[in-house]
Amino acid sequence: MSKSNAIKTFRDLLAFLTIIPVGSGEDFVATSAEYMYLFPLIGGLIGLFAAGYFLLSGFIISSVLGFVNLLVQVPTDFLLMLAVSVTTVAFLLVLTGLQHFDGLVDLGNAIGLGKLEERREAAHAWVVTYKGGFLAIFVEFIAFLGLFFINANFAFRVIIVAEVAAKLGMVTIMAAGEPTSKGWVRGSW
Amino acid sequence: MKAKRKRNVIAYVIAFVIAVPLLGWAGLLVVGVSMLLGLLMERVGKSVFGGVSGDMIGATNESVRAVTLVLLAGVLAL
Repeated sequence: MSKSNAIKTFRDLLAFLTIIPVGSGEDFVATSAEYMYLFPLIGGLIGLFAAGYFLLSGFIISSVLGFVNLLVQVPTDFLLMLAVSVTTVAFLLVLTGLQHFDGLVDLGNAIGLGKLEERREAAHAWVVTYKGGFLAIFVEFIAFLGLFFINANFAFRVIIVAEVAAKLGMVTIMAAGEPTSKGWVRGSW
Repeated sequence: MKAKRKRNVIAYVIAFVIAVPLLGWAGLLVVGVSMLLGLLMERVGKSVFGGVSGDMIGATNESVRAVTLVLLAGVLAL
């Protein structure tokens, strides 16, 4: 792969997996399918952004809480981890354009329905059922708990590794399964 | 198709190279768990949608991240 091709691939993958508008053209989806084995590398970069956000927001929020503590006594450590964990999960959701969150909602919408066609229709409908909403919020709450209880000394590294693992999970499911529909996925992994 | 699937082994190598230096044996554990969760989600996708859809791929991303964070919070506290 030439240097310019490598840069184009990197930009296309980043554009595909995030809302960062660095895609080099309309074929960035095809490029992403072709080079999906590089997802964990992009996951590492996304994790680095999120870990940076975690540290920066922690610094800002602890400064604010320190000031508030001068006026009124508050449980600083608890509030700090609560605020930083919630906003880091939100940061990751926004950075990925809520695309993956939408996948959870659609999966939840479809679970428990009778026929296969019904389930596929439920996944494509522009509605959120209580099952879809519950599944998505439950999974994100688990992620929040993980961040909330993480040992602060490891937080930076854990966030990076968690994002690498998430992308590895994506590669695994694509490598192991057969796609359901025609599109960029069919025949491309 | 098989060649492309074999090429996906590179993804595991990349994950290993990032995770293990950062977290040691816990990083290795995470690589294994994310692989197992990916396989589990493939089974879920097959039973719910008859295969793997974009929704399932996204749901896998969120699920693996959540489980990994909780797992690491637990094992690193030991």
